[in-house]
Amino acid sequence: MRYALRRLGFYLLAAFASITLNFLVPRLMPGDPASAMFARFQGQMQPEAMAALRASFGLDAGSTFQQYVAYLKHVFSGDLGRSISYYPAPVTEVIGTGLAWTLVLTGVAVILSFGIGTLLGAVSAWRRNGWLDSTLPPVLAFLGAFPYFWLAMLALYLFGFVLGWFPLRHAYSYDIEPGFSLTFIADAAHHAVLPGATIVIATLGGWMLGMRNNMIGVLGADYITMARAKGLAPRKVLLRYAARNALLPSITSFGMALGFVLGGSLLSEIIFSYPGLGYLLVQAVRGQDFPLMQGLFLIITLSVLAANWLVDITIAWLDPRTRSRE
Amino acid sequence: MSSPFRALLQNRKATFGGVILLAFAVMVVLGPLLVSDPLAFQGAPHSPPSSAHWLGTTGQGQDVLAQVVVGSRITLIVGLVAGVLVVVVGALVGVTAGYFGGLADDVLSILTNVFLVIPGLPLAVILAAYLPVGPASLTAVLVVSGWAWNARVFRSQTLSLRSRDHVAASVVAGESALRIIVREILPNMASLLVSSFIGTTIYAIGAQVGLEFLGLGDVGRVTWGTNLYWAANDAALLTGSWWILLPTGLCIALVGFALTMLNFAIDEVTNPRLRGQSAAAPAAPQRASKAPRGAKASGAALLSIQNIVVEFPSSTGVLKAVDDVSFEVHPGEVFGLAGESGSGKSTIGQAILQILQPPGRVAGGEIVFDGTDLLLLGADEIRSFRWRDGSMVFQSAMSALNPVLTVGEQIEDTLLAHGSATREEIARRTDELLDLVDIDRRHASAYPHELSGGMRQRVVMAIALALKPRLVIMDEPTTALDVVVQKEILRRVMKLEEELGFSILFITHDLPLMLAFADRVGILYKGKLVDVAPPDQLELADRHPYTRKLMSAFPSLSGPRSLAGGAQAGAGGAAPLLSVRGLHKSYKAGSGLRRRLRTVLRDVSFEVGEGEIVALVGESGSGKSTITRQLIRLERPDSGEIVFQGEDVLTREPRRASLDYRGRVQVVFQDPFGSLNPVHTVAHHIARPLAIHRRVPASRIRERSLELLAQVGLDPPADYIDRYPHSLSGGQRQRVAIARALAAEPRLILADEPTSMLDVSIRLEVLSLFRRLASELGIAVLFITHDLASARNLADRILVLYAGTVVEEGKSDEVIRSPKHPYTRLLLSSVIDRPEALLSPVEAKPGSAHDADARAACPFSARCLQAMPVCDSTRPARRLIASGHHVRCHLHDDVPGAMSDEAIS
Repeated sequence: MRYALRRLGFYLLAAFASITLNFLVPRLMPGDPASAMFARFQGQMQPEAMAALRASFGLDAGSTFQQYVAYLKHVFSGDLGRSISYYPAPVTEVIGTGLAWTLVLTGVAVILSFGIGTLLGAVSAWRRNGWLDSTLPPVLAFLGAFPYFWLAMLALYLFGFVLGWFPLRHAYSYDIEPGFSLTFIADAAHHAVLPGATIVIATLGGWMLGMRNNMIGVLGADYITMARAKGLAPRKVLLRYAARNALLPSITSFGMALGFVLGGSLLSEIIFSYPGLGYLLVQAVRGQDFPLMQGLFLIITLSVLAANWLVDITIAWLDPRTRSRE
Repeated sequence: MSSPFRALLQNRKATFGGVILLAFAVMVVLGPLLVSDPLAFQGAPHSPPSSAHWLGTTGQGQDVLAQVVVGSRITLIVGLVAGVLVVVVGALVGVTAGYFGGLADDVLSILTNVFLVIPGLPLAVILAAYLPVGPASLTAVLVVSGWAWNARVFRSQTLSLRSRDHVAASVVAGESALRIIVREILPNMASLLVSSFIGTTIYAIGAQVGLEFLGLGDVGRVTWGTNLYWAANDAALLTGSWWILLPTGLCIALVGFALTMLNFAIDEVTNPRLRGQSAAAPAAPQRASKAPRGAKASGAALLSIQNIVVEFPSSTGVLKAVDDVSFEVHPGEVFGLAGESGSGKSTIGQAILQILQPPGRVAGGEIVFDGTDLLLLGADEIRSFRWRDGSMVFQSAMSALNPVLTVGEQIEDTLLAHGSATREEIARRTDELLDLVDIDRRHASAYPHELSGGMRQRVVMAIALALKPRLVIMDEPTTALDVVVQKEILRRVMKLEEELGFSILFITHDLPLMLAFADRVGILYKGKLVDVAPPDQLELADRHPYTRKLMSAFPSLSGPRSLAGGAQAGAGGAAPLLSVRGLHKSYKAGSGLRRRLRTVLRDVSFEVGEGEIVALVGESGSGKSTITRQLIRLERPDSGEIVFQGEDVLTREPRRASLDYRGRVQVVFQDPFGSLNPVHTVAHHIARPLAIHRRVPASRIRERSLELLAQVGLDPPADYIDRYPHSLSGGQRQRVAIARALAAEPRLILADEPTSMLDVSIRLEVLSLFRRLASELGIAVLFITHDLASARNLADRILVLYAGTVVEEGKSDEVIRSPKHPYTRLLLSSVIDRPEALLSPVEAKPGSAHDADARAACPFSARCLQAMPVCDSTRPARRLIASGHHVRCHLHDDVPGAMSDEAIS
């Protein structure tokens, strides 16, 4: 598919740009923070850790361009240096354990939230000024105005701490052996309910309002009038004619909002001590673990790019006009 | 500009948001003066709210209330500043990319798109981690991670504004790029600027709090983010001290919510549709009061409409779109409803099928179909009536078809909605229907955008006939189509009607067409049916005055020319004002590896004399608007000369048109709603060209503007000069556009379909205005049109354009009376202005100017019934066959006296 390949080309370019950005940021900052950092760690760190740190920044490789080449070589061979706070574990290894948890938790929550929100938006536009349309948008907009992690704190306090319905921390109970057993999966799901629900509630309003406004635009189109004139059942007009078309711009904005939503969900992971990327991020920030921080930036960016590519393919699949556009 | 602002003040959501924000503003300014030191140890840690500490104390014994109040300062100021900076950076990048296009746009939009897909928070984290802590660097981080979204929004808005005619008109007036951006484009983005700023501020507050919560801010300062950071660090939750985090979180949410409400309000004010009514199918009986079944329902009529009233209630009162209209449609009859926009003709069609757009409703009367009053039917009954008994062909076939379903799927939907059918039956019926409208069966699997306009309209017709209805409502079914396609389709409809015997309710503004097509015609005027008669009687003198007015509003192809000029020198005699020689233009089509050139103009040459009106006639896709864009210098032709007043302007001023040229060549666009800038008054539009070209001293600008308005028939001018375009009618706007063109004191006005979007009754007035300008001021007019009849009546000479080639040119009367080129004859025979016009077949093979290959030797040969082998191999020369009458066709190679231009020169 020509379209999918062209989009892939763009995302590869974006990936390359973010890899380069990752290289440039520490070097462009005022006052050479890298050296300042080394100065700060002088005497506190083991010499081999210092050496690893220098190597991970490519600072031992000569000119900036040579450093860049060395850095690229490392990145493409999957070497993002060694973590300071988890020394001597390689950054890729540290991230690897967290990535799966984040992908599953955020992935499921975001897709659920988008599905429910879109459905609510479609119905709310269809029944303009009905009870759903007049109550939900302000309520969801209010909930969406809270920082995700604050909602997470509140949920943890109420449902974990006060009511005791859900576990307080981590992704699974320590006394259960991780594996593909029913008990483990049920336990992990139990742990995921609160963090997942936080993400769903915080993001629901955005999807709903987006879909509602798209629907209102689409409902004015001639083909909706014609579908009604044809005597189609209302449900069919709603789903096959209106929602089907209104969904397209919704999915596009879904792709663009992914990075933003992921950022928020990382923060709520921290509240639940969920062992995902968010938790690693806070460890990295507190431990001044720059290699880990940069590795996280890279991995998160690449995941978002990959997800965006999937979104583009979905749109091409749903919209014949995208497919045939040269 | 003032009215949206006032609307905002009256909006409940805006008031609500505004009051909350005002309260927080007071808190930011005065709050810190009123509370104690937020960092001082005040009492026992983790103590709950009490009279001493209204909101309790933190884990370190500090006063929570003081922290919340003092924290608002940095958080909200950083949020606000970052919001402003992000919008400014985004708007700068977006507007630059959008306005200038080209390489700048390519580079900037790739950069924007890349930054857009890089997630903001992780980027902000690494940036913040390396920067020294503090509000300034936090702001910088927010700007870097947030600008791309705004850039993208502003770019697309700029692109859409830039392509509007009022921007083009400013360019043609000689306005500088900077001034166009600042005065003509940015003011139209006011609401976008505000809503982007609000959206960005929400983002900036959220991201800021998030970063500080992570520990990336200055944890020694009091902000809302660090409050939450310390709440988490001091185990506020585990100790059950909910009061530490609740107030800060609520404040953040309240600010965010208030900003969101403001944005909702702006959306509602700028997009009125969002305030509308439910679009869900309303409960079936839309009539307010049920009249007893009338005995009037005549047995003979298939459809009997009695005293129907349709109302549209609004905040300013009830609009009666249809007022006490009665008529009948008999089996097998074509009943025509004619009227101008706003006459209620389409509303009647929608009322029959009960698909009125809310809040429209039938307020009285009966719609009896075959003995049943449709207004008494329940929702399910009316649904089964729709399409099975009465179907509808919509005006715009592009928007009447669902873009994401194939043609076949949309036919299938219709069949399935009215009874179950097997897969084979559906397939067979689909084939039958496509055969019926002469569309290849393979196109059942095509999507609407893959078909041409004419094919789409035939698909809509096939769908309308799917269930063999007895009544088909046709609402302007051919208005959007070119004449040749229109004739094809109408002939197809006539044939189907004869074969299948359904009745047609035909709705159109095109009275001549109606006279040829309908058995009886009803004339609607402002919701009332003022006249009903068979076509031949409508022409009689004793009809309703409005009928007579409407009948005389259409220029005719025969008889005396109503708008002809006096003794015109024509192209002969003195040196022409404008001489176009050998113009070529092609555009890049497609992208990447499949990029190729599409030729739009090929060797176009013509002349326009001083004070002469020349009509350039062609169908859509013929290249006539491309010629306009070359002549007003919005684009540059690939080759050829534009000689104006004896000088080759493309050589003299190759890159940008000189101010002198701008002053002498002006334009009037087709769409009077797009060609005036909605944020400026009439005065601005006229004053700018006067000021740019220094036609009068600054002190006389207003006086001169009034003169110009009077000159174009806006009388008294003082009533119009300070009005905004939205308060003018289409005809009045078009007059303002003409006055703006005149202000520059041009020698040539390009009029690009200046009347095609106006109501028929004012078209002639606007056309006669051009004639007056030509005869009184000696201004030459290049009149670009698809309408042969108005070309004949107004213009001194006619050029016929097909696929970028001028195929015939000559004096108006001569070209119309004795057309020489087969394409001109095709166009003329396709004009439907008398009943016989529909009897003769379309004199060409199927095709359209759009699909024609401009690079072929003769672009028309593929459709020409008289094509000869030579037509495919040799480009016909431009031959002079009579005085001033040229034709490009091999049929005239051997005509005695004809000689090729090339031979002469």
